Amino acid sequence: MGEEIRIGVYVCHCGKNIAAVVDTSTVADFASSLNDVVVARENTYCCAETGQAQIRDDIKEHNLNRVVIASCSPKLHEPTFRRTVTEAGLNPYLMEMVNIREHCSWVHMRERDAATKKAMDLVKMGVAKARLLQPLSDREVPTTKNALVIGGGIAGLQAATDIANAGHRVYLVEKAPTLGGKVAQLSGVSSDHQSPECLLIPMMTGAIIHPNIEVFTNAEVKSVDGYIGNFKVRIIKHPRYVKESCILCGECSAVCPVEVSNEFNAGMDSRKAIYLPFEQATPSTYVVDMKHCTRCGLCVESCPVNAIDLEDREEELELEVGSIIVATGFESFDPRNKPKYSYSQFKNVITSLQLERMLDPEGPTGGKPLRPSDGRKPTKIAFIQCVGSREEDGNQYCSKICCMSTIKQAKTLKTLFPEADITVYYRDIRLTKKELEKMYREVREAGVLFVRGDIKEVSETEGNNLLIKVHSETLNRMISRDIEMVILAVGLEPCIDGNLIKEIIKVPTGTDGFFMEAHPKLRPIDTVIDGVYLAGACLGPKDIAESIAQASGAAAKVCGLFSKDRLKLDGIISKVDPDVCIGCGICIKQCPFHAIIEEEIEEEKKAKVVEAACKGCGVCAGACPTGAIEAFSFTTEQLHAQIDAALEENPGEKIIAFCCNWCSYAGADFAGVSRLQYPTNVRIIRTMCSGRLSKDIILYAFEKGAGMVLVSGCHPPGDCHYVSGNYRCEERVNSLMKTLPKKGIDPKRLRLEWISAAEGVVFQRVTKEMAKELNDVKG
Amino acid sequence: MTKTGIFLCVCPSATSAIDIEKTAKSIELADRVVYPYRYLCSQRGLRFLDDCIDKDKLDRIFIVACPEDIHRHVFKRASSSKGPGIEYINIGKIKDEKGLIDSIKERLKEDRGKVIKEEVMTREVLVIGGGVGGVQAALDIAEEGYKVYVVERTLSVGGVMAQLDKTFPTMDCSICILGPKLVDAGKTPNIELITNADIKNITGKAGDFNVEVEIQPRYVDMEKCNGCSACVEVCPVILPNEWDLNLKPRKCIYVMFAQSVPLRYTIDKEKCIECELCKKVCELDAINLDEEPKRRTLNVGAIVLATGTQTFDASRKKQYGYGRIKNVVTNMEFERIICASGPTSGELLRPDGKHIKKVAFIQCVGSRDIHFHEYCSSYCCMASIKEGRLVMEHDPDAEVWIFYNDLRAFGKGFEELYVRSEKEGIKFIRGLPGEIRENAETEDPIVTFEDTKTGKVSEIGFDMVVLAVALEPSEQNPRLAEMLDLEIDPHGFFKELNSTSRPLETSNRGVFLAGTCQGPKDIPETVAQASGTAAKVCTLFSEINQPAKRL
Ligand SMILES: Cc1cc2nc3c(=O)[nH]c(=O)nc-3n(C[C@H](O)[C@H](O)[C@H](O)COP(=O)(O)OP(=O)(O)OC[C@H]3O[C@@H](n4cnc5c(N)ncnc54)[C@H](O)[C@@H]3O)c2cc1C
Ligand SMILES: Cc1cc2nc3c(=O)[nH]c(=O)nc-3n(C[C@H](O)[C@H](O)[C@H](O)COP(=O)(O)OP(=O)(O)OC[C@H]3O[C@@H](n4cnc5c(N)ncnc54)[C@H](O)[C@@H]3O)c2cc1C
Ligand code: SF4
Ligand code: SF4
Repeated sequence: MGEEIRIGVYVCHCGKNIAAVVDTSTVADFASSLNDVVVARENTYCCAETGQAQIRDDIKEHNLNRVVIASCSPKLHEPTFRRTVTEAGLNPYLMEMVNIREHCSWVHMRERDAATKKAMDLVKMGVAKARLLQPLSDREVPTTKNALVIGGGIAGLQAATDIANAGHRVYLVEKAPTLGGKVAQLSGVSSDHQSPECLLIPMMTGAIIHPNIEVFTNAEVKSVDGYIGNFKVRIIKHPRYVKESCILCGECSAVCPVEVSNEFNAGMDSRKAIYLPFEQATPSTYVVDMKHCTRCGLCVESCPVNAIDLEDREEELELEVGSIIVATGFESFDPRNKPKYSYSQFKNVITSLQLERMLDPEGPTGGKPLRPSDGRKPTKIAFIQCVGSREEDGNQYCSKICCMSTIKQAKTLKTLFPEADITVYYRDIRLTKKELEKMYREVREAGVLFVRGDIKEVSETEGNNLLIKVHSETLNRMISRDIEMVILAVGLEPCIDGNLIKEIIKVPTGTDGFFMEAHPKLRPIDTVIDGVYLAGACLGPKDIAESIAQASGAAAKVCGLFSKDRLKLDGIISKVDPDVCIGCGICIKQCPFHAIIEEEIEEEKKAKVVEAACKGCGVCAGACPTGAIEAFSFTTEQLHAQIDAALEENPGEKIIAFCCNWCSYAGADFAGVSRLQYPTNVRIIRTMCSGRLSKDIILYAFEKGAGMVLVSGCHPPGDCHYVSGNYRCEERVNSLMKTLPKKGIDPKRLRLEWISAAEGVVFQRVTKEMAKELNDVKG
Repeated sequence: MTKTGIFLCVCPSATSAIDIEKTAKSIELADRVVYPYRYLCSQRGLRFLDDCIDKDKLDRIFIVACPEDIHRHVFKRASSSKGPGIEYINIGKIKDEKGLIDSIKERLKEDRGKVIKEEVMTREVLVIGGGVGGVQAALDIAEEGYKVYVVERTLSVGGVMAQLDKTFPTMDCSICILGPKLVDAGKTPNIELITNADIKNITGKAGDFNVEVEIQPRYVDMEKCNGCSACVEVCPVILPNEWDLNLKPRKCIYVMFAQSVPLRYTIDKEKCIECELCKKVCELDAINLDEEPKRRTLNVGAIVLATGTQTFDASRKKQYGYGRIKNVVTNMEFERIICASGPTSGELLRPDGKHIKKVAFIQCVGSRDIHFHEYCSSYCCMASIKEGRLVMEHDPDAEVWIFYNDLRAFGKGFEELYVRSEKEGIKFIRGLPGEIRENAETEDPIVTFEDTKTGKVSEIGFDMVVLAVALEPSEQNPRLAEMLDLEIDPHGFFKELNSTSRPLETSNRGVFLAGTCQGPKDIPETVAQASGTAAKVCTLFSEINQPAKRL
């Protein structure tokens, strides 16, 4: 192309975030000395209105046709700056960001000189890549204005209702035989006198009868394909074995000979193999639990309306939706995992969930919280807080709702048994809603005792009584107390079935196991996957109000998406050069999205990318033996240019780190955000997927003298944003390892690591280890 | 003869004090049947309702149940397929069977079938308050395709978040993540920002509110000014900058902060000496020293309240000496001190120039204190941990002490940050200090406290003490509440329809709540809730679209 390249470089101070560590004026001066750079400036905040205006003005005034912005992570502001340059008439893909904050100033806080040198290298790499950027155009696709909501708890119900009310079709998929989630099991909710039934029942009924909502209970999502606006979802509807004509007479249950523990009542009583999960279960029909059913057929005979069909079959459906809301909720912590509480060993140690069931007039004890061992009224009751939360060796996080739930339960118990001694053993009482502090005062005034301390042990004494040993913080010594009933305030854990969803939809989870939002502050409802949103406790412990508010928020995102008929998808895709393609078909096999087809050009077989289906991972480009495929914005030429620039000086001392956009690059960002310091000789090169890398590109880095090379991507099996790109990468790295010695390269200099978006610590550890090794090798 | 069916929902929470049988007996006549049913709003209940309507050929139906807004959508849909419309009686406020019987009889006398006239509907929305909550609500509502006005009292949108340095728990830079959102709001064609403006009056109801707004003069033409700042250079009047605790100067013609949206200059008319130097230098002829306040009337269908909070006046807590002791500051002030764009350019300096090496944070100042506010402000434990970490980042040798009662690290990633901070050296002392004195010579504040973990009383001097002050309801809330016929909760925050199940809605059907004006919360919760109001607006607009048949 004959076009003259005119580059503008902007070095952001980010207030002091960058400027306090990196000498930005030196970096800007250096940038202006680089070939093709027409202007290079510093700016206090490039993202502020004035900063953006400066860039726009320069583009016009200096006829810039490439812009390099050295500031924060592209994950934060790439969309912002793409828009900025567009406004000045430049193609958005002619802007390149250089991350000198998360990957430089924040991780080398005490090494000003080295950080400045690194920033200069990074800018040089960015400019080198920018020279080769090509203008791309966004793709437009139509949207299907149907939504899928996964999980029929309070959050899923709210989200489905809001979307349906806005006039869009919603499919609500719940794995249990009834809607309702955990709220159905509660006997009271904390902050007001409304009963959970009055909250939940109209929502469940409303969903069932809503003309825009189709409810699938006893159902699962099997697979999700496609992209924002155009997802294809396969759902399995497990058989219920009871038809809708069921009149709820209960004859079947009466004759069923199989008794199993009743999960709804937290195992405190039993139910039959044919059962109604709870009285107000919705849809209100009985259901057969095939895991336990013996197919004796007694129920079939007993049913007066012939509603039972034990031959009922599983159904599979395919739905087309434009957006997905994940609302799979939580699981209660199982205290059996913590021997010191002796749960399941001693009868009178129960969980807070069990107490909820006991307090329910329809519950196993008819609303009376009596001792499980002898049905007696307990006179000495202890609550133990933080069971399964705030632990060093287990769940580190605070479960947020258990303090509130204990206050609520203690209040109810005190009203039922005014004479009883009730003590709460806690570490901090964490109440957050505006009305709760008053309730806390009232329970204290009513005589409930709060003791700050650490529970060491729960043991049993005569008559199934209990003895607890506590280290009291106030007295600063061990105390022992006789107790008649102990309630463990169990924490919340990520839902196991929710994790299946993680594999299916690829929404990443954090170190705590809960789903991760796209940005903890500004995008708390979005996921990194466009068109997929989160609601409720699947994101982390939340009370009902917060789950509901957030679910409405997720619904609003969907409504916003559906307000337009067509959506824009970005222009980063791959393209085959038919002149170079030899028709080997390797790319067709490796493309995770079946987006490459074979076509005949002048009687020769050639590969061709289907643009709408391409997700731009570049796995094909990494696979192609002839280099016929270009992954836009991450072309081989561009990657080579970045490597060249990074290794221009002292290559042997440097570590080239190839990081995939979704996990490892984000992990390195997270190291930055957490200010985890690591060696300054790391040079990160971003690709969309680790599967973009070919053996040749990795080799190229060694040829140019790189001391070490790190290749990192998302954890197998399920984390890869592009399904299997990480496996392709692994295959290539493994095969390359074998040939390295022949080329005289010590395989130790190449390392493959899986680093998730939450694993800033791992990124730090790996780079430190590599730097140390590099040092050792050099002697 | 018409036959009337009275369906009584017997739900334990609403009817436990009412004798259902007695009620039924005293109302039932040949043409009037009472049907008690447990949980009428359940799927079973609806089947029962349908069956009875068919079986007994009812042509007038009453539903006596909890407040209508909880279940209206259920019964309305169920009834639309059946013949008669449904009349509701709210059981929520009824105490005993006498009350119930009376109110049923009263309603039976009323003429049925009052058809309400089709509702007027303006599909435009007003957001009051342009903090992160208001801006997020505006962005999401605009994305749904509706026009949004944001009325903000100050010169720029941004709210509290614009003043913060970093944000917990991930410690990212506040203005860096907020700034672009503000710029977005300023640019979105469906959003109109009306800054420097007050709400004067509101009349009307859901679908059709009339709002009178008074826009204060900036003395600079918003259309003409392009933010070039030539005027600032020539302005001779130098004033303390409120944004930076008066520690940094600004001119009489100024912007609130560098990332202000809109980025337009304003003259502080009270201090202006009318030298007109700015007027002369302004090439765009944007300056008009005689500008008058303007009035505008907006017609909107829904209103989102996002007026946020104000911070507690720490001088009310006398024993901590705020206002008296120079180096006792509030956490809001400390955010500015530590902020790169703040008065000390991010250096940890006291006003007297001394380096801050030892800082104490005191929690619950004005919160959890029956003398002031009983509620917990919920952000301040984490804010202090954040600020403490920032101190140590600036100076690894600095000492940070946090005095607290309960450390409330309850949100996502909070406990992890707390544990990490304790490991990294922040001292957490259980127990709030009794008082703070000043060392007359060094001006160091001296903190007297009893560590409840050890029971010892000690006195320690610090370079600076930071008070983590409460978030309190804005003084403006009562006025707005009155205009909108809303309830205020006992603390002064706007009251939601139901704190568990309807956190976003209010007793006024067209008014929704976003962010801290409903109660203290952090940024993520504010943002999520603000997005939620966008869905409520959408629902309202589609509801009003299909006018209810009868009331
Ligand atoms: C003991 C206890 C007491 C509590 N007390 C209170 C209180 O007083 N006040 C309060 O506000 N909150 C309280 N809570 C918290 C409250 O339960 C939660 O806020 C609420 O349940 C969250 O709703 P959710 O919809 O997000 O999740 P859930 O209620 O867990 O619902 C999730 C739903 O998704 C379904 N699901 C999961 N995986 C899949 C899948 N793969 N496919 C399809 N469906 C799936 C589940 O079956 C479930 O129905 C309490 C919790 C406990 C444990
Ligand atoms: C010192 C401090 C540190 C904090 N640190 C953090 C943190 O690190 N992380 C975090 O998550 N949260 C933090 N918070 C909490 C966070 O600031 C709030 O959650 C957030 O700002 C709430 O946003 P909002 O939009 O509800 O209210 P605000 O930010 O208060 O905005 C309300 C807006 O409404 C305007 N307004 C008010 N009344 C009217 C009216 N009548 N007419 C027109 N406009 C009006 C105001 O001028 C203001 O612009 C901190 C708070 C403080 C005080
Ligand atoms: S909410 Fe209370 S009991 Fe639950 S984990 Fe947090 S501090 Fe512990
Ligand atoms: S968040 Fe912490 S400091 Fe703030 S009021 Fe609550 S307990 Fe006190």
